[in-house]
Amino acid sequence: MEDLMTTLKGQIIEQLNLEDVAVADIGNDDLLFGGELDLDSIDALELIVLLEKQHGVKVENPKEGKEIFKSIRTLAEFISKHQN
Amino acid sequence: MSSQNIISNYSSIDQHQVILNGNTLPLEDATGQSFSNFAKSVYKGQLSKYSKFYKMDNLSKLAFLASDLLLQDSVFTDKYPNDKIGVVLGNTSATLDTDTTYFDSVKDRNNYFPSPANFVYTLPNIMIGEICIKHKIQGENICLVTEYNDLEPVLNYANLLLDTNQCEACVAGFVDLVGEQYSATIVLIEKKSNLTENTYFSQNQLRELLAKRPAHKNVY
Amino acid sequence: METNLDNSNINMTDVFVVADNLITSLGLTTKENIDKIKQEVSGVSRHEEQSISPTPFFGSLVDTASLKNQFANIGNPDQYTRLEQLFILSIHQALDQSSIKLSQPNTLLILSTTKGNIDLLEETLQEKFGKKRVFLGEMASQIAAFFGCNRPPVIVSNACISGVLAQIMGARMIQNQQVDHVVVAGADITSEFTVSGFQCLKAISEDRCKPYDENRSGINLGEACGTLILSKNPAANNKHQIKILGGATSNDANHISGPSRTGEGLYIAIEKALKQANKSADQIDYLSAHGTATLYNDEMECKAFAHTNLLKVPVNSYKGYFGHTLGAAGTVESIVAINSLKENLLFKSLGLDSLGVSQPMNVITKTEKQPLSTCLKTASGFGGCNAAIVFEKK
Repeated sequence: MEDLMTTLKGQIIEQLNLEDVAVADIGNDDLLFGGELDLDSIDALELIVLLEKQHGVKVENPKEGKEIFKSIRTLAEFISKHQN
Repeated sequence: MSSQNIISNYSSIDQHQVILNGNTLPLEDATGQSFSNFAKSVYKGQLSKYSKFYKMDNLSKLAFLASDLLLQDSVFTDKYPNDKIGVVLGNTSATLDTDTTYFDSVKDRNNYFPSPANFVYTLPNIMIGEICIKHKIQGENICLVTEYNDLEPVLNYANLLLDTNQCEACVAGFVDLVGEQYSATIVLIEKKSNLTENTYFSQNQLRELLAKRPAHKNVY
Repeated sequence: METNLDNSNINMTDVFVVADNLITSLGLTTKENIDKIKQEVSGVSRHEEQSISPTPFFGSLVDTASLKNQFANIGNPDQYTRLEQLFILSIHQALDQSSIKLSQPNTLLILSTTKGNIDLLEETLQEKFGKKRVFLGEMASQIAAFFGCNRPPVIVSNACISGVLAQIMGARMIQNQQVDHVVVAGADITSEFTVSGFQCLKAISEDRCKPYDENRSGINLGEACGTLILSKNPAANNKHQIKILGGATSNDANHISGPSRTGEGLYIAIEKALKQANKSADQIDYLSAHGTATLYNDEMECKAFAHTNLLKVPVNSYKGYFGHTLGAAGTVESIVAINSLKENLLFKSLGLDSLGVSQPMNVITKTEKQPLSTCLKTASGFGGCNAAIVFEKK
């Protein structure tokens, strides 16, 4: 789980062009939206693509995104649960 | 037309060179650098922190840099009501640069991952939106696409907006980018009667300055 | 001279809309389109078109064979892209109704499009027409050459307000005596590029779109061309004259793709357009809104209409008939709105079962006769842009 969370942080920084952010800056339970990272609706859509492309997991209903995208931990839990 | 409208400030970015009101900025030699790296170093060296910068595509980065150099001190935007400032930009390649990147993400049906972050930058007026967001500009908007690198239709329309009082001032210019070929000129057009400063450029002076620049080539 | 901050309607030349043409999934002339709209026919249907989308989608597509056949009467369809055929055929049919010619120096062509020949990114088509043709300027040159344009054409590419903005620009140039006549044509095609893009934004409805409905779930894309001829002279032999009284654009300065949560940007554009037109909200008989049927766009419009006191005005969205035709939308929907004025007929807003916005908008639920003389048309788009234009029938 820890490994997955670290991987996710790296992927998010890369995919969402968070140039000034380092992996160590993102806490596992930090809010991704409405927190320090200042992510917006396009970032949320990019996260959906990231999950599908890098982890083979689909978010079918964008409405469930809110819970899944809460923090790095919720994201990692969602991935673990849905990867086979 | 319209000798009453003058250019209070202008910037241009071309071939790793940034010119502000006729003066070349003393930047580190960037020869050989990609546009992305060059843009990043101009942003870091000249502008205040704005995390959205890194999310922009290269065309918007170019427009943002050229305009922010003129607008970052807020002198221009503080002078006028938000909805009385217009943004008039011209361009020849529209968003072909990002169109191509985006299209690459869908053309292989076995590797079909369209990127929302790329797609939203596939409209040339997005660069106008970025400028408006940064500086809270809410007046007239237009993005004109021309066959050649030509500032005249842009100046003509900006003058029209000022002469008919649709706007009191305009951010106008020409911003074009495909791959590593890029060119941007941004001017702040104001009515002469609104200016207290003594230094400004007439539109003819600007034309002469621009004519001296090496021609911008299309890559296609 | 006395200064007047909004002097744009003083001593200015009048601007008339003297001819128009519509090419959409509903037909290749304005009349065919209006007849279908009167019958409440939607041009949106389910398409299984592999070249556009790997999965079936709801959209409004122009019939390729009819377009080609009609085009063959005036030119060689093999020499022009799909979009150029739409533009040329539509402009030709509009010009046919008047004596105005693009070869005259006092006449300007303004084209409005968001993506131009974007289908040429695909290799086979690119080989056929050449790489350069994907540039909007080159596309415009082809169209201008067909009509022997005297002046270089102007291209407005400003997202979904392009078609309204092109009319505003044309009207302003006539008012300020830069030109006498302007042909404004807006077109976009439905392609793999735009369908995949709006799909990944999760903005596409899996059924026919439902503007302002509580169960709305996104847009349908459509392709179309709408052409209007603007002139300083009234139309000869027309029963009614249509005038453009004013228009304005604005920016939300909020987000590049998300509609404003307050509607403030659209409010600014409407207020300015009304002021220029010298009209108050209660003098507007009919409102042709953008109504894309996304959750946030429709609510944003609702807030702006409430703020501008337009909630009581009968309002519709034409997206249920044509889908969202992007760079064409502003011209296409203005033409239908103008016909609404001419025929004193309010057209039903297709797709509404139960109003799902925060204020009681007066959405037209039944096509019916009503005396009409003034119409406000609005549009909003990515990049935070908004536009409003006022038409009047005399």
